[in-house]
Amino acid sequence: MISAFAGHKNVKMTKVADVEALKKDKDLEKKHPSLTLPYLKTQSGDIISTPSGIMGYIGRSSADAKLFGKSVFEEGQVNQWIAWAECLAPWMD
Amino acid sequence: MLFNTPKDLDMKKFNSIVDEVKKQVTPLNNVLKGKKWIVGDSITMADIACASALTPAFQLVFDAGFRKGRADLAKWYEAFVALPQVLSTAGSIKSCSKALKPTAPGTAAPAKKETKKDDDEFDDLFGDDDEADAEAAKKAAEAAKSQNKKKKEKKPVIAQSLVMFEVKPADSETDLDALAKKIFEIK
Repeated sequence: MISAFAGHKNVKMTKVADVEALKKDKDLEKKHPSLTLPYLKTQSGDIISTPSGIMGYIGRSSADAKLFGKSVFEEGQVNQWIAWAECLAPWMD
Repeated sequence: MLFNTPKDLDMKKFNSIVDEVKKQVTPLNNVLKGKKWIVGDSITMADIACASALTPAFQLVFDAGFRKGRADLAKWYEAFVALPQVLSTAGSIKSCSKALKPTAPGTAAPAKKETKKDDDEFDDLFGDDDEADAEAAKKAAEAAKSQNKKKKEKKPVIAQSLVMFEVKPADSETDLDALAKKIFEIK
């Protein structure tokens, strides 16, 4: 689901074929020790990982779009469906 | 699982996964009754997450008949992929009219013939080859049969059927490498 954002002009998506290669990146290892995929590196160099973590960050970055609903209840429902989609994801690869 | 089917996947397991996915989307279809988006009256992350996650299913196994029975789900998905933002980032995503399945060696030859038939709808250049094709298919089927006896394991070759499906509308001038690149970008 992260690939939905990959075409955005400010987001560069890189496919990682070899996780071992990531271990050579000392800076990354310091900020993201588990090295789980996917992860997002922001402009300041900070790391956010897991699909829901990344979606939460991107969704809230645009306050006008209300991508997490218009109320606390709606936000809960949005999170519910993100979790649902994450459960489906392993079957879809 | 649907896209990158493992080499040792048997059809029973593949079908059970497809059935399970089809079962799982029922609550989503129910939620979408009379609504445009999943939560509230405007698009949210829920729509982006669910539609993105379901894209392989719509491309491969949610055939026209299945979508007819899940009209609300289908309407929602079509509205999502028609969004200009989705079109500009992911390109045009088409749902399949017929479910695509990984083909086992024994069935590979007939599947090939079928795609050829489809090609003829656009271009009759290959019409004369049918006879030779049938013979080749027979031979291939026989070879596959004997191979099957040795190894009962079924080896799905999903790439072929999928690529054939995507390439159909292309003409001889189309740059297949560029097209392949585009297809991979969709995922």
